[in-house]
Amino acid sequence: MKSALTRSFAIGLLLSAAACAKNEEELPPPPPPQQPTATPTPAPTPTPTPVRDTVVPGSEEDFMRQVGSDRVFFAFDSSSLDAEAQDTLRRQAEWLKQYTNVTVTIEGHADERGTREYNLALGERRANAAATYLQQQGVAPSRISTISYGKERPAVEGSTEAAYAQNRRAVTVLSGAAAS
Amino acid sequence: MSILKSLGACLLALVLGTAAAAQNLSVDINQGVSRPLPIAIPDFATPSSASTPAGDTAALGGDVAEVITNDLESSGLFRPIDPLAFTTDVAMADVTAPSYPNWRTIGAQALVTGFVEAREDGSITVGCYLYDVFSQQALVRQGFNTQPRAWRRAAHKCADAVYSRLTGETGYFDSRIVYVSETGPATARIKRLAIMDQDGANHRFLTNGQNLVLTPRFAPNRDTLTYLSYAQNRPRIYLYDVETGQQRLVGDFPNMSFAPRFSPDGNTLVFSQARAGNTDIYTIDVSSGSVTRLTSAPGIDTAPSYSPDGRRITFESDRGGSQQIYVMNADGSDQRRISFGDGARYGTPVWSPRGDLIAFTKIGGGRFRIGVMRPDGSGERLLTESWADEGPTWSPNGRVIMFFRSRRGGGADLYSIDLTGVNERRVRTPLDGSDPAWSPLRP
Amino acid sequence: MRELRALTLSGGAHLALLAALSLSWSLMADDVVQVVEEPLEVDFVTIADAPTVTERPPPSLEAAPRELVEADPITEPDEAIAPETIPDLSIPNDPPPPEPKPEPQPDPKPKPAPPKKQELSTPVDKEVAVAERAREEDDFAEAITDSLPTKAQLSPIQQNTLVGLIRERIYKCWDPNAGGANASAIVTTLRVKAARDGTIIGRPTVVRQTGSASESFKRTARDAAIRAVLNPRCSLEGLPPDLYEGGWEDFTLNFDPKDL
Repeated sequence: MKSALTRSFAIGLLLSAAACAKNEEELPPPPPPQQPTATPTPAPTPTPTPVRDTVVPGSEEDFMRQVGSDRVFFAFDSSSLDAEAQDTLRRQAEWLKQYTNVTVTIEGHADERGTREYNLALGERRANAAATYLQQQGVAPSRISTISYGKERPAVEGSTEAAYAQNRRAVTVLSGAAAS
Repeated sequence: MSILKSLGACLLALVLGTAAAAQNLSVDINQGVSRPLPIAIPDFATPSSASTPAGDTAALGGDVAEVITNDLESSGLFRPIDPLAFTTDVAMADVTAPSYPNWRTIGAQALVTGFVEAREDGSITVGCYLYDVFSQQALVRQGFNTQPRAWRRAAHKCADAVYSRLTGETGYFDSRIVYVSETGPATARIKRLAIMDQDGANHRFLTNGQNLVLTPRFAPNRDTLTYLSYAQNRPRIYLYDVETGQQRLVGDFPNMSFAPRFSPDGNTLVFSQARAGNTDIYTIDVSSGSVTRLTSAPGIDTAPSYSPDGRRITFESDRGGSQQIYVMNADGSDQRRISFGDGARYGTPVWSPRGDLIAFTKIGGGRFRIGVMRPDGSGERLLTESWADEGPTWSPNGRVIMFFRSRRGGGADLYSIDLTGVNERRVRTPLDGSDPAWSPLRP
Repeated sequence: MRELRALTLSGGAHLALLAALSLSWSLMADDVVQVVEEPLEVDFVTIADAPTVTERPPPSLEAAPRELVEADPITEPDEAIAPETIPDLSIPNDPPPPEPKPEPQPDPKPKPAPPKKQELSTPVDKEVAVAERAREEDDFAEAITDSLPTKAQLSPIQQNTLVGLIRERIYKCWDPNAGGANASAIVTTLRVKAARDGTIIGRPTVVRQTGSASESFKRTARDAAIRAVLNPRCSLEGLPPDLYEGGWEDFTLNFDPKDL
């Protein structure tokens, strides 16, 4: 399941890279994307942000740069945090412990393949899972609140597995962060 | 008197021969053809053409007939005959003395006539008559007095009277729908409460889309709604008075409260509250605000709905590992699972106003369907199937189910279907629509 | 002079015609009353106008804890929210004081020849009317004769043949779903009398009805069965004349949807 996801993600990257190349250079179409089996595809590393000294410590921009992601993802109908999600939350907690004036709201979301009320509850369950993890990492409970949007606010449009994977999420939204 | 007569006849028959009764040829008809009943609904007459704020009574007569025609046709149980086939107009005198052969000739089996009359006090009277064309009998005679601007309601009442007399069920045409009107991209969908007559007329928005709103439900008084709003970024339950526009928060809970529905007496709301990843079902007394917790199982208990007698509640729970339908007593006792479909999930149970069925959403095999089952879980019957059919609501007579169908890739529409699984129809709304709730029949 | 006389004459003729027409109208008006056999309950209800809303006890809104009202974040200043007066209407439970019969007052204007007349001129209708009257006149006598054995007897083979023929005629006009959710539980038995030309004499009578269902559903099932028999599309016309006596002149139909 997970590997299938990574694979489709990789294919997507290759495809979009191909599209870009075509547009910019107007060269003959590049070779069709290979199955990314053996070839060591360059890992989809976060685009290397040029180190700018203008990023204000304690700002949202700083949070994103230090932590890498403001969200964690879930499997279908699940609120379990996998290793990757735990990593992300651990980094979030580290950052939050540094900037104690910042409070967070964790928004829980579900994909569209569930009924309205159930997904509201599921989103709350996901938000709560992330919030609990942050607390265990030492962030004061008083700094964390949760809200569920169920299936009402997808991050990505579309009725595909890839879109659903992006939409089953808990997003950490900062307030009181320094202006950047 | 007639009892005496038949008694006498019986005695005589006994005297004259015991085998007498069995002599007549007896024919069993065990087969039939079910088809919509052909019905003629000519323009309503007027005793004298008079102008009203809603138009001339003569013109109103045509409008009333049209509303009745659409109502009856939409039920799928009637086939209104094209007025072009009519051989005569219906003058005032024909309203109470129809010329049956004229209607039999064009295949009508039932005939609706009526009139619109302006009254001195500014109101109008809509007379409503139903005839059986073959047996030449009057079946319905009703009159409705109303203000001219409410003429559509008089027409719906007439349609309800006709429907009721010919089907044996109570009507449902004089009722309203509240739903969530949707527009914009999925990632930033704008949702507004909207209300309309059952036939789509008199549509208006109740909220302006500033806040996310979900799951509106009618109170038994038909004028109050309860719904979920994200006002101030806090999902909580509100009451909304449709007539006055007044609103009020119900119970200011620290956690998300959602999925509200009224009890049949209107005094209580049953709803869900999520706390630390665990969602349970509660009730709140609407006037005193006192709260009672009904479930405490770990997991998601939500989408509660009262039985029409108020003694039981159906809800969904994933306590057993997947989302399934349960029934419990109104005090929370005796919780038991009733859905056991082949690996499928079940949600959004809604008790029929007749009490004998529970409608639900069934998820399985990548499809969302609307179905019904008995309150003990037996007799499951699926009525619809699509990419995503969800959220059933019952017509006030328990004969029609409305729901919403999401389109793959985005968007949703309201649909209705007959309880027998036929006559699926899209319900027209100005924008996309979801979360429909049908009002009780209006008084 | 001659013109004047002609005018007077024609005027007189018109007047006479008018009188005749009015007469036939009033006759018809009388007929109208008889059209309804049983006293049909006439419901006359008033759909009240918006102001009645104020009378209704506000739906427990007022009784609610005050503090909750305060925030009111929902007050969305949109056109839609303006409490547009809706003709909401309630009908008092008690019908208003017995108005003079709610039937519309017949328009006093002279009408073209009353349709009722045409109706009676068709043989079928005459028979219906005559038969109906006859039955009412002497129910008792008829009940007795009805109970007597019929004259002719058909052989079992003839009976089987006829049963098939009648079934073939009738079933196409019968809606077995009439009777609501419990339609399948209702069995309606009709007694049908037919003339030699196939027309049904009078209305079929309901001999019995079994099954547990509400009275309104049973009535619907009865109506549907009777409609099937009276439907001209399912007429008995053309059934074998030699099977008429002791056969289709007088028979019973059991409408039983339970096997469907």
